[in-house]
Amino acid sequence: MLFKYKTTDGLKLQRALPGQYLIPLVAAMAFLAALSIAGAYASQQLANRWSAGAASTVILQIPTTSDIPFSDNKTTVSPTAKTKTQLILALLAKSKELTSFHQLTDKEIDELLAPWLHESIQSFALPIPVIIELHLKNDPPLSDTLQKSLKEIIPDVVIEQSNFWNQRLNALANSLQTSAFLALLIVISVAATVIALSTRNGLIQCRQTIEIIHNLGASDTYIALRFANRSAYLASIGGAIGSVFSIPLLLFLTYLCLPFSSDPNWQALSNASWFYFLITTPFQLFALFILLPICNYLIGWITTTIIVYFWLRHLT
Amino acid sequence: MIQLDGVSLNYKDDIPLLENVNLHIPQGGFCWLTGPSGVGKSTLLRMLHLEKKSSTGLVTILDTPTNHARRSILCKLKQRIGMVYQDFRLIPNLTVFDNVALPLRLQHSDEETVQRWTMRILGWMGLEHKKYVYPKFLSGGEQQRISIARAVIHRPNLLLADEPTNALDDYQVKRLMDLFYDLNDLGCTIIIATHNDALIRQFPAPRLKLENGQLWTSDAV
Repeated sequence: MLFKYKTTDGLKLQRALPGQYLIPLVAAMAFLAALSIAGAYASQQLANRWSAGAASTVILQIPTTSDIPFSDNKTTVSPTAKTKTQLILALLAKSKELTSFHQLTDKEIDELLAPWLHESIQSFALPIPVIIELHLKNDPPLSDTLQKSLKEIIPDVVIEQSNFWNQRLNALANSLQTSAFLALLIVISVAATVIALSTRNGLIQCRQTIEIIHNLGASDTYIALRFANRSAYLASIGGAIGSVFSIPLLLFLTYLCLPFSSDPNWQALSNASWFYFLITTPFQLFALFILLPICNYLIGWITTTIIVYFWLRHLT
Repeated sequence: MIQLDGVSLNYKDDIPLLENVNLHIPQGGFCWLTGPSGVGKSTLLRMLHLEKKSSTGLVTILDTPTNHARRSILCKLKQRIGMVYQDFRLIPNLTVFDNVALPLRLQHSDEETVQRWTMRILGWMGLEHKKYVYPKFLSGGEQQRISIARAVIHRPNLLLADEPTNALDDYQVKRLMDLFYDLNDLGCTIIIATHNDALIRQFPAPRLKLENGQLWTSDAV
């Protein structure tokens, strides 16, 4: 008979705040939030790669002079150009603007031009310039001083800073990231609104009981906590469900995004199993998915507490 | 102690029920509140129970000025007041036992105390055998007794009762008045609203008469 003595205050919250509507709605919001988070993360990675890679890279082209004789149809650099290249390399070595620089070898140039020429550059009598790749400490452009010094050594040196595209690509990545965060904010707002409406309905259903227990001395905090704990519990379940359901879709999206991967062997990965994608998903992303139900719990708890406190103000 | 200084109270914001009323009831006082039906006795009790705010004037309940008191203080104050409603206001989805035990549970009393005190008051009310019954299965008299039991179980400092004897027979009325006198002897201030003159004559006490927005006091009949 002891079970009949269970502590109860008459607030039938399982009936007032039923999970059958709130859980699926919050799950849908959590699902969208997971996609937004993944989108924001991918945009951030893309932005980082662009700013750390292409955006901070400058290409120097040192043309080979046309009066230099070429022996055996080989693209050899003239002695004058060779000396000037060495002077330029010496100058670059002293520069504090660079993190590193690298003169492309014939083999690397071959690989670079292979899609167009289909043969080694050595087979053609082409005046291929000396190419030096510069990695800057900061964003381009090169300082005027360094550009001037380079021009003094070789007046017709070509400095390809590709600022135009780098800036636009970075802007694109940043706007993608901002959009993803805005989407996340909207999803959070919608989830909070759904929880708020559900709480309000629950309060209206329990109005009579709330008035009675309030008049018996139940504090605002007590009533708010009773509702907040129930709401937060339902929201966290919804969050967990949405989070779990988003994982297969994210793995599929990861598969679709393989061509944008930094992995040079991405084509080989297209035949990999889903398990490979699962274990190679970045830890930060997984941590966010684990945090999602906790965030839902907090959103549910905070929203409900605020709504209940405001609603109770109507009672004297 | 209850004190009203220049208190006015409107019903539904525009119909005046009290106009510039002054009242002082010392701690441990016992009085009847009378007046014609619809004059506002229940509304006055609700104001004293902090369910309604006065339009103007100062209201002091149990030595606490309530006009600008924080909500948390008002909640604590309500825990020291017992209220018997004319319409009982029992929670339909709670058993008799849980309804009566509610004030103690809201004050976070330990479950052993809750069990002991609730069974004791139910026994006194003669409703021990109905502890697992829901209110809708009780008669009006039984519901009234449950409402009274809930109002007194936590030994309030102020007891407000709105027509508490309406549904009771003479025997139960006598027992109820004994209970109220016992509480009064323990220092509880008691105000009982009624329009039963016979009851007032049977249990003489100072009388507050509410009429035309004014509260008149008279000594024990």
